[in-house]
Amino acid sequence: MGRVFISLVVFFIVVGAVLVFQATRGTSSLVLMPSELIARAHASDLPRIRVGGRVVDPIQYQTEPVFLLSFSVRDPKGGDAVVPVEYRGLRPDMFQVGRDVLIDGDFVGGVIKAAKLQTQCPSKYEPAVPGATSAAEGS
Amino acid sequence: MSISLVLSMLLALLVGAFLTGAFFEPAFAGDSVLPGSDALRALYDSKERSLRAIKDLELDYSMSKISPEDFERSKQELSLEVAVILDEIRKHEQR
Amino acid sequence: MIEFGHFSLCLAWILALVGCVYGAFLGCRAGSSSQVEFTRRATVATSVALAMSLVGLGYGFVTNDYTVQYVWQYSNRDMPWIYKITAIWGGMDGSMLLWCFFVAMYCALVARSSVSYPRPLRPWLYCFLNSSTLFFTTITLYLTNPFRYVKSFVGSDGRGLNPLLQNEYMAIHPPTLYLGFTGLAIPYAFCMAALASGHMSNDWIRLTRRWTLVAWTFLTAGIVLGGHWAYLELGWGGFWAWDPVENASFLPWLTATAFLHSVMVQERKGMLKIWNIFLVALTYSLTVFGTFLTRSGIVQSVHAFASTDIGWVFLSYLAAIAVVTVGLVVFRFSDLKPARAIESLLSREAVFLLNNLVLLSICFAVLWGVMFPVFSEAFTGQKQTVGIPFFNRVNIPLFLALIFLMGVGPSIAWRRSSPRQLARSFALPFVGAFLVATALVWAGITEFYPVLSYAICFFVLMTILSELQRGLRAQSGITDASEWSPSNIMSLARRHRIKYGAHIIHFGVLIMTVAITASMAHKIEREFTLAPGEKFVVGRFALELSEFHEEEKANYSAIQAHVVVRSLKDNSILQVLVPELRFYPRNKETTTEVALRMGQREDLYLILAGVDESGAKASMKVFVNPLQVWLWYGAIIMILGGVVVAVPVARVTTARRVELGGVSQSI
Repeated sequence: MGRVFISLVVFFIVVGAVLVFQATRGTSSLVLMPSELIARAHASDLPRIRVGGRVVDPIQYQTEPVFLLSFSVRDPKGGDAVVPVEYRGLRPDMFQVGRDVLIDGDFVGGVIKAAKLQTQCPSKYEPAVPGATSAAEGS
Repeated sequence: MSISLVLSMLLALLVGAFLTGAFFEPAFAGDSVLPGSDALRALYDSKERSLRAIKDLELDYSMSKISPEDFERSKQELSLEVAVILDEIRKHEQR
Repeated sequence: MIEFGHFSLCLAWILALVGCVYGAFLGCRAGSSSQVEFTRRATVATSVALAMSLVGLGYGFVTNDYTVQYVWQYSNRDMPWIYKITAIWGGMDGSMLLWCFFVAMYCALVARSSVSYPRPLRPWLYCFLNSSTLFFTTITLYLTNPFRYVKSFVGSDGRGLNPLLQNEYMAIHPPTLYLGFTGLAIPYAFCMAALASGHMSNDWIRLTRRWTLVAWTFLTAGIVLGGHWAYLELGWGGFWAWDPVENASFLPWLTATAFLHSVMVQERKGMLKIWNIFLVALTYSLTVFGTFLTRSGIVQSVHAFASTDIGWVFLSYLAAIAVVTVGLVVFRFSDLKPARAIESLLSREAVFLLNNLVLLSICFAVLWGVMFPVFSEAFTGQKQTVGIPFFNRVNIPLFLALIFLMGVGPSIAWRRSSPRQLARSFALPFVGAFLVATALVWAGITEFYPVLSYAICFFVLMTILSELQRGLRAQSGITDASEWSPSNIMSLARRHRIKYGAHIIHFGVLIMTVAITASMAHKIEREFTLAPGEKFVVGRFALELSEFHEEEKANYSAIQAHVVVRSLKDNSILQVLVPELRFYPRNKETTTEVALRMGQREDLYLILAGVDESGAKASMKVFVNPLQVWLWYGAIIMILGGVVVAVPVARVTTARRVELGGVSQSI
């Protein structure tokens, strides 16, 4: 009886591990800063990336013929590296210049083609230092 | 500022009075009774479990989740268990 | 008043420290009953002090005291007073204070009823109860103190609460969720106190189960409310995004659910003792881990973790929990031997074990997904992440297995069952499920998972109904009432309240599963632009833009689009939806307000994306989410089931305890 159970547990661990491993390999994406992205992808395209950056001017938003939000991001810490982004979809709430965004998508021909765009989620706690927050506001 | 001070002192006083009140309470009647030896308590627990198992068994049978043969077999096993435990308890209590 | 709040917090910290240390001291060497009573009172007083602390902070918000950093940051003069109250937990510092209060409140509730608990258990119980309060008040006092003053310049007005949080859900969702999280400290305290005192009778496991159920019900409600809030407010047409914050609440829910099942095996067979202790400790650790996860920023970056102290404090506490738990288990190892073994694989205990394995697999997979960015950065130097596709891919098969087991478990006997018996029980549900699957494929739904999901749900529904029917038949054999008469149903429910309460919960899960499957598999998503008078057809509806409307409110200005929804069938007007674009000048934020038509068959979910510069055209996005409303109905049923199970258990436990007290006194 005990042996049957141990083999059941082992079976679950193996199946679980295989599931997790396969899903990880099939869906994981590289997390990069805009500067890292430019440094890595001189000529080649990078599929499946997640880029965290700060939105810089100008933002272009068109709703015809399709929803298209075009903007650029730079490193949240600053720097000159700026990467253009194209997002086919609704302009998310709270999206504006100076805000930090997370972009999931592919890097194709020097442009991030975003499949998903998130602004800083409001239920995440922002740093409580006034300096840090006013910096986010001011830029 | 001053209202904070007054309220703080009031709260501290109340909490202090509440805590020291513990030493003026009469001891609880059931509190000092230590419930038997560990072995005896374990026996009571297993008696309770076995009786519960019999109850479950009868419920499962009444809902025709087990065959009559399985029911009889399990019931005999469990009844024997209860008998053994009760015997043990009796021995403990005579000591 | 702010000083009063701060003072009360300090007082609570001292009381918790006293309760914790003195409780452990009394646990090691028998003290007088007054001393134990003193510890009990300290536990109760802690909650009062923390309540006063909250009052102090709340007063700061209501009176617009912008000399206080936290008030300045999360409130402003324009906000309605209700949001000034909810802003108390709008940020990290205040939410930690609320958290402390809830932990202390639960501890006080336990302390209140603890007078009749076995004497050796009590000091240790107070010790471990206060240890939770102590940890969280320490964090609040030293790392996230909401009573700090603004350091330099004081403005005449605050920065204001994030507009997305100015919503009635903010009033109810976080407190409910926190009541779930913090409640899980109680089972842990019971478990550790039982181990430390060596008083490991069936009592503690019953009490543990009861408190876990209470916390579980709140946690379920909190998670669903969060999903509902996201659905109404965030405007992406979904309710669950496998976000780290959501996952943090889901992880302890999974292990608590596992415990609620495996504890039944311990109650009946005296086995799985160590496993249950492990589950209780893991559940509590995961709530602590969840607060750590959402507040330390570790998932965003490993470096963020290193730059704050809060991470190390949480990690040390988690390590301490692990060490104490393992230490006590080793210490009491001889008392934790299983009383029996599992007799057959075809038994309910075996199915419960499988259920535990599946739940823990899901838990592990979610944890892996959450921590993957951290692990990959730590081990490969290159940060990688996984998103919604990962979680869906791993969890859908595991969840379907879980739902299937939900049908099998209750219909199989304890101890052992025979294959023939199983065939008799499950033949009809299997055939039914197969027919449903065939019908669905015939109707044109051919994707594998949705068909499987509907079929499994039907299978489980059949088993629940047949279980009810068999119970009623057995009951009518006792009472001579006819099987489906209301009186017979009531007397059955009264006799086996926990059992049928659990069936209610399972039924709620079923409805939710169907709703989730439908909204995942058959969702329609369209974008379009209309001028007034133009029409757009989606699903069963035609949407016609009639006019624009502008509005000025106290703290924002809005553009509304009036959209007439007509039925395609007879062109009758069903509803006028008014999606809205809001602009908050103070924070320079733009937000969208979703317009929603809830229906039994589907939700129509409409977002105003923008109005073109000439003001003549509106761009909108629409989602048609089939059966969405059933997700919330299912959740309500689950929560009702939770209440049915949790509340009567309380009464039964009291009755039993009196009975047991009688036994112990007669010895």
